Amino acid sequence: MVPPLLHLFQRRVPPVVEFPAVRYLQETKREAQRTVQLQHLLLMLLRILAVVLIVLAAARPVVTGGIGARHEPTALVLIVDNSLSSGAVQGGTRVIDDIAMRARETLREAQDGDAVWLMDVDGIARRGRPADLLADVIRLTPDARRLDLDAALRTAASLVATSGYTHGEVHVLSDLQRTALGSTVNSRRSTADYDTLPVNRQLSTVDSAFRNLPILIYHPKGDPPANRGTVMARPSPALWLPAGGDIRIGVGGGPSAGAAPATVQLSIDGRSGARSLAGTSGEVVLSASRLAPGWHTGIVTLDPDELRADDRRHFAVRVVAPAGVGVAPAAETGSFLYQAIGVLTAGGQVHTGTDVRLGGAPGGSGAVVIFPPADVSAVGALNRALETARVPWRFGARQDRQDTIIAPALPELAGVRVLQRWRLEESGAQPGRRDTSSAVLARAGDDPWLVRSGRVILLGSRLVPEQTTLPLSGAFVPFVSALVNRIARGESGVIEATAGDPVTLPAGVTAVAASDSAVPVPSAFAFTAPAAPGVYALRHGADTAGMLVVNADPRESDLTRASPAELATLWRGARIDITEDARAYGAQRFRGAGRSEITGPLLFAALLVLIAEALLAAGIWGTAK
Amino acid sequence: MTDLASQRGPRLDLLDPKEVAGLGGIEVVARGVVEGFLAGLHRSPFRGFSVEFAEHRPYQPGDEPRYLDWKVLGKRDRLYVKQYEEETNLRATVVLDVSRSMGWVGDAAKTLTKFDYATRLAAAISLILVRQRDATGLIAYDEAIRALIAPRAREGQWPLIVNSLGSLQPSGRTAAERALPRVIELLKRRGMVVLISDLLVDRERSLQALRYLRHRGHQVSVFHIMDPAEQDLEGPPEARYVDPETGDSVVASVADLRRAYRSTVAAAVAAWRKACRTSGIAYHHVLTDTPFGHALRKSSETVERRNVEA
Repeated sequence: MVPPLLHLFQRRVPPVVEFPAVRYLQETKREAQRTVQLQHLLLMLLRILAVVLIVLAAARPVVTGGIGARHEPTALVLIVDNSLSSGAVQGGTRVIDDIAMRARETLREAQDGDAVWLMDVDGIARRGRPADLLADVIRLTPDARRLDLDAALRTAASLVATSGYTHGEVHVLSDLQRTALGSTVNSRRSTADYDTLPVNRQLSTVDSAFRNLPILIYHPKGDPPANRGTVMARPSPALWLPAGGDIRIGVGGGPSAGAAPATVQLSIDGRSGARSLAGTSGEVVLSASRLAPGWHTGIVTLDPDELRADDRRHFAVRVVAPAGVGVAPAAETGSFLYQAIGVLTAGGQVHTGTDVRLGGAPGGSGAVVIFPPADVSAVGALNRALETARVPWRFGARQDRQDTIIAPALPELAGVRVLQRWRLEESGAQPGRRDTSSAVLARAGDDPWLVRSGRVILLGSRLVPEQTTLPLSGAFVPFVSALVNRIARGESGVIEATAGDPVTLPAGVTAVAASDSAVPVPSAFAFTAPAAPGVYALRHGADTAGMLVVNADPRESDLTRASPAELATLWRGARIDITEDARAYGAQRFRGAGRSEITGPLLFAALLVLIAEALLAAGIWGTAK
Repeated sequence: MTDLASQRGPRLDLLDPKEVAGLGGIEVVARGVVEGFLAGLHRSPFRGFSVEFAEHRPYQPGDEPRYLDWKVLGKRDRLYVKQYEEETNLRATVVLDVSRSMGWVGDAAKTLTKFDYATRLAAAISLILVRQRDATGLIAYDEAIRALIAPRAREGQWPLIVNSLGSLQPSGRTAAERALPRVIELLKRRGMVVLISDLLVDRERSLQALRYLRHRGHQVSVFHIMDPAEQDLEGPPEARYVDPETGDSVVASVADLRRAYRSTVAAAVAAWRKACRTSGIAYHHVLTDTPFGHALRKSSETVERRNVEA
């Protein structure tokens, strides 16, 4: 706007010149008026054009194609990070859309003589013709899986090194989450520590895998948006009675999480449940109402923000009916246990039956909880019975030492002290076979105190005041309830997994089923969790043996960007260029070839325009009759 | 007073008018110019159109065939040429424009004002005529008659003209439309009229007066005096140009109008030339940096051609 304003509003008082031939001048002006006006208009346009050309030249634009657009044959590994966090909206644009556009530009510029690999969130490098890979890039969408950038870079470096090409480049198109760099950066040092290190120390050691490897990194412009996501949704306890239970919900997002509280809501079987306000980070517990026995699936949701995909988290819970309990004679188990079972029976949490037997020796159809015998001489017979029942645990020597019970999964045992116990020792009765169902549920000091092997539970102490303070505490009845309803009845059957990660399934699982399809499981020990978050049923023939709950990696919620110093330290020896400018990225790829900067032509055009303007202003053109 | 004609040196009629004018007053310059001009001409420049036969002489190689006496050739088969005697009673009047615009000069360091140039040119023409023993007079005008010397062939006529020219100053407006009728009234006997002016007047009305002179039998020559700076527009990039006579003004950009202005002036000169030619008037466009001798030669050639045609 400046040139036309100057042109139109430039006013000054001209000097007065005595000139007798004014009549000729008047006649000239009268006849040339139209021409002069056209000339002035043309002058203004030329001046505007000159300014525009100069401004454009100052922006140093580049164009693709044309003369000089070819580059040396190059081995190119294009890493497009379409992990969950790529769905975040940054600057009004989804990260995936931004980086996919850069990828398409690069692939369009790639030539048939190049060796091009495309690697996305699965970390698998696929080689193909640029046109084919372009189609793959167009189909890319944010994925719930997490890309380990460090591992991807090392794979890419290996590909470039073994490609046989003289020129090689690795392009990383990513939001550059710090959490995507593996555990190395996140565990060793804080960002501040890296930034304060002298460069020569940061680069003191060269990683041979990255020696002189050009790594061109593009991330979207500006700081990552504030984000908060659900990083955990776990039933507590893992096995519920029909009365219901709690869902422990973790909220996080790293330093970039917003400060304002957000609403978190529970939904089970499609029905909305409790809701609460969650802070920047931390844990929220929401209670669920009464549920019928069986499997139930649910979702916790957080208020939407710039990254929607991590605002939902799936969970599954198994609800069981109250256990039918049978209790051995009080002489063996103690009267406190009798009283507790009576209270639970009166409250409807247990009933008399054969699901769980408290006391006695292993055997029978139900689960059995075995206590140390009141008679010391009976220990040997009990151990032989355990061995006969192929229980890999036995009672060892008696310990008269006070210890505090440590049982993270059993909050009812918090602070309980043990006064006297029998050591629970692994008997090793099953050579060649590892019992995967065997687990230590609580310890007293360094020794196991509560263990489970299949349907047999062993306690190191009798539940009497002489051996533990538990019967005298308020947590005794809840503990007995947990013991008969949950611990004695085995695991909940829910397996949590991260999308795309390997997961170990229980033995006997034959298929993993979604709502409308089922995937056969050839080997329970080599199964990869589905990429789509959700709850999948683990089938054992026609039965449901458990639930596989697949959610996104909670690290994806932390959008904090890695610093250049961290990258330089992680990939020592590489020539790393980081840019958030699409034009700069375009100018640097393929070593700056394949594009021509048109600053020179623009300046030349501006010069021509200025010459034309000068000639026109001098009257060379335009006013001749 | 120095008689430049008696000195041997460069011909003043061919030198730059500004340099020549620096040698002395009007009389000195006019004499020097005329001496130089006549020395290079070898015959009378302003021969009258009324001539009388003098004698025959044998033809010599180099004589123009048109002067051969064909009757003698037919009768005696000999080649004789006729010689004539010029008439000495031609009445010539120099009409000089002394308006204010004549006092303008574009670059005083390089050229004379139009007035200075015109006075010296008028003095030179007068001297040539006087030397031919023609009756020579002077009329100076702007919007009125400022000087009037009736044509005489006597001794002292030319000094009288020179003194009158020296006493004139450019002033007033050019109102040729009003002054020329007065001039016509003063020119009752037919003869030669030499108008020296910058012609910054209404062309049609001025031409009408000149045609009337021509109609009355006068031989009319017009010297259109122009400063080089009037032909090529120069000056600041943008200026308000004011006519010193009329006060009219116009704001113009030199860069915008230079070429168009030149074309306009060329068209104006061409229009004057064409109009004069069709009216039987001799027209001479003279820039003030033109040597006086060139201006005199152009005028003498025109007169000679007209006499031949007559």
